[in-house]
Amino acid sequence: MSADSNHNQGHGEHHVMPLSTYFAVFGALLVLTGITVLVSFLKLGLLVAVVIASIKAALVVGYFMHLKYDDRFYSVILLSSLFAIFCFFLFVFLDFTSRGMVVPEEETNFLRNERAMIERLEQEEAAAAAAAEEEEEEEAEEDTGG
Amino acid sequence: MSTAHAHGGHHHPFHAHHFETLPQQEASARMGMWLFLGQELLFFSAVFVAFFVFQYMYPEGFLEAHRTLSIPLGTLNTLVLLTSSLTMALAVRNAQLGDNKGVVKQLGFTIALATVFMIVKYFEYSGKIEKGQLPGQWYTYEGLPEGASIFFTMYFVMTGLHGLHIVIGIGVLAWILIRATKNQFSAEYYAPVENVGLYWHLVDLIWIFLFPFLYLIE
Repeated sequence: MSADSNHNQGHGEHHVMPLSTYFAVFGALLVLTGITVLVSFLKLGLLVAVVIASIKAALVVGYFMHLKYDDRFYSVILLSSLFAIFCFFLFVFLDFTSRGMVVPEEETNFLRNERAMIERLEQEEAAAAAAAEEEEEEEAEEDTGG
Repeated sequence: MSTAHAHGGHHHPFHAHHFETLPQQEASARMGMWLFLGQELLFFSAVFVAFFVFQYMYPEGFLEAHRTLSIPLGTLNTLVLLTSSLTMALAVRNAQLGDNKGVVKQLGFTIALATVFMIVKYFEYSGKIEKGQLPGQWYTYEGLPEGASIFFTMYFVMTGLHGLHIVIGIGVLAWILIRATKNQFSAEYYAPVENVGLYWHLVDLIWIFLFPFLYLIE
C-alpha cells in the first residue's frame, strides 16, 4: 500500500461534515424557497428570482455535493460547463434582441403582432359567420311557427 | 478477493484491477460523474434557452398560461425535492461513516419523497390533460392568448425531462439501497453512494430553476 497516500485526493476525500451543517443548509434552502414564493406575489420580476435560485443552487452544490471541500478539479469541470451555458444564453439573447435592427421583417414583436392580427380577423369572421347562422335559425323557427 | 493483482496484502473486494489504488478509483469515478453532470447542465440549458426565446416571442400567452399553474402544488414539490436532497446528503454522510443501516434508512426516505414528487406531478399532469392544455396539435384549451399552447409544450418538455430524471433516479437509488443492505459500503469505499447522490442533487438543482421560471415569474 505504498502509493496510498500519494494518490489521495488531497484534503477533501473523506471530509465528513457535522450534522448541524446539513440542517443549517436545509433550513436556509427552506427559507429561500419561502422568500422566492412570497416575492413572486410582489411581482419583482426575473432578477430577484434568479438571484435566490442561484444562492440555493450554490448551497446545494457547495455543501450537499461537497464541492466546497472537494478537489478544485471538480469545480473546474462545473465552471466550464456554466461558462458554456453563459455563452449560449448570451449569444441567443443578443440575436433575439437585435434581430429587428438588422432585418425589420424578422422582428419578433412584428411577427407576434401580425399573428395576433390574423387571429383577430379569423375570430371576427367566425363571429360573423356564427351570427349569420343564428339569424338563419331564427328565420327557420319563425317559418315553422308560422 | 479472487482477482490476481500486482500488489500483495489486503485487497478491497470492489477495487478494480485496472486502478492503482482504491482512492484513485474513487477519484476517477467522481471525475466521470462530474463530467456527466456538466453535460446534463448543457443538455437542460437548451430547453431553458428555448423557453426564454418563446417567452420573448409570446409574452402575453406565456404570462396568462403560467398563471394557470398551481403555485401551492409547485411549492409543495419544491419542498419535497429539497427534503429528499437533505436525506440523500445524509445517506452519503452515513456511507462515509460506514453506517450501512443509516444509508438504507436515508435512501428509503429519499425514494419515498421522490415518489411523492411524482404523485404530485401526476395530479398536475392529469388536470392539464383533462383541460386539453397539451402540447402542439393536442392543445384544445380555449380562452388563452396566442402562445399559451407553446407555453404548455415547453412545460411538458421541461417537467417531463426532469420527471424522467426523477424516475431514473428512483431506479439508481433502489440499486444502491440494495447494495447497502448487503453492507457493501465503508469509509474506504462509498463512491456509488456519493455519485448517485451527486446525480440526485443535480435533479434538485434543475428543479430549483424550473420552479421559479415556470410557476413564479410574472
